[in-house]
Amino acid sequence: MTKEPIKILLVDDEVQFVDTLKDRLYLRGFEAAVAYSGEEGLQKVKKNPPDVIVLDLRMPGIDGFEVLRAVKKTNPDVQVIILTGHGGDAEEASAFRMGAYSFLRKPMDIDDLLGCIRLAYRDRVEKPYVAAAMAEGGDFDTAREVMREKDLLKDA
Amino acid sequence: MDRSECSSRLLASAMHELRNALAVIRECVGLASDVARLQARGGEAARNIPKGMTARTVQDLDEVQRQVSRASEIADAVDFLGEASTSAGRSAQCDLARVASVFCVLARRRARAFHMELLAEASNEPVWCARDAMDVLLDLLAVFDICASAGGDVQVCFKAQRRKEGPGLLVSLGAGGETKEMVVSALAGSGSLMPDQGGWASRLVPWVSGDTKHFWLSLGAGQTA
Repeated sequence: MTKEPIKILLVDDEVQFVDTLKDRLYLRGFEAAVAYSGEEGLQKVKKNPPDVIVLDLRMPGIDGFEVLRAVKKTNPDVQVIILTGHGGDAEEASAFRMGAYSFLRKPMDIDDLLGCIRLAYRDRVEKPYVAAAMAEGGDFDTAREVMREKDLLKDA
Repeated sequence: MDRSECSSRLLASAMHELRNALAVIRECVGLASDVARLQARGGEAARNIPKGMTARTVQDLDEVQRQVSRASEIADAVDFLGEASTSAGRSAQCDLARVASVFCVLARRRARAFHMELLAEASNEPVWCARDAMDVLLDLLAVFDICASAGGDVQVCFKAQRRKEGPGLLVSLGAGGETKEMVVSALAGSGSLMPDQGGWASRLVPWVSGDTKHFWLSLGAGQTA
């Protein structure tokens, strides 16, 4: 089975959920690392930064918001998808303000999650190339537009 | 905190817990379905299924049963909360054992965020109290907030009892972490939990003088333990 090169980190304290999700991703050609707490998640990001993090919000100890804030400070290019059982509109708005790529609610369809992971990865990897190509072609405005979100995330 | 806020907070906690149970069910069933589909396809697809994953799907069926029970327990507790909210102020009495048990289910997810475990000790028979169920839930959430604001990280067990002064709840602290002493101090200093409402006062006092593990939540009218 050929694995896609996307480095995924799943951070969730619901052990059974995250282990099963990891297996389902594996069967679809994705390797994912798992962390069962915010603390463990941050350690794994430090040791081996992933491309995309799928992050729960409410966890004992360091919660998802703190993880998101810390990751965006140290690794602003890492894409963070929030996947939570909690979460009203206020939490969603906060997550986006802090630089989350997307906000999904449990229970979710695995194909929706995969689509989101692929998009997040594509944006992370391709944006600089797309912007460079635009700039090369003289379309500086579009190049700036493409990179704008990336820069904003760095400032967050 | 009023009844409406109490109800909203408990409902939010319960819905979070329910979504997690549903998410586990969905993934377990999804994995079983994935594996069955790959096996049906045969050939390389079937051979590529990691060793042990097929066996795991069988174990996952047990997990699904557990999660369905968990979801069903939450649904029952939410039903109770709905009824208690609707009849708030009109209900003359409630079974304290049942209210404590429902509270533990409703607040479980919230407790987890503070490294707290909530337990309700079963009672052989109802412990009736002339209080509104919603008011008792309010008192229990107040006790929870005291523990959480002092750092949490402790096991809290509720047991409905009737003493000669009246019905109430024995609040026992079990295993805990570094913040347990702070939780004990916070509970010991809490005294009157809710302002006296129409002659009803809830008080939290040490079970016996000097006891740092057990507290008595007195729910009688203007009474102290």
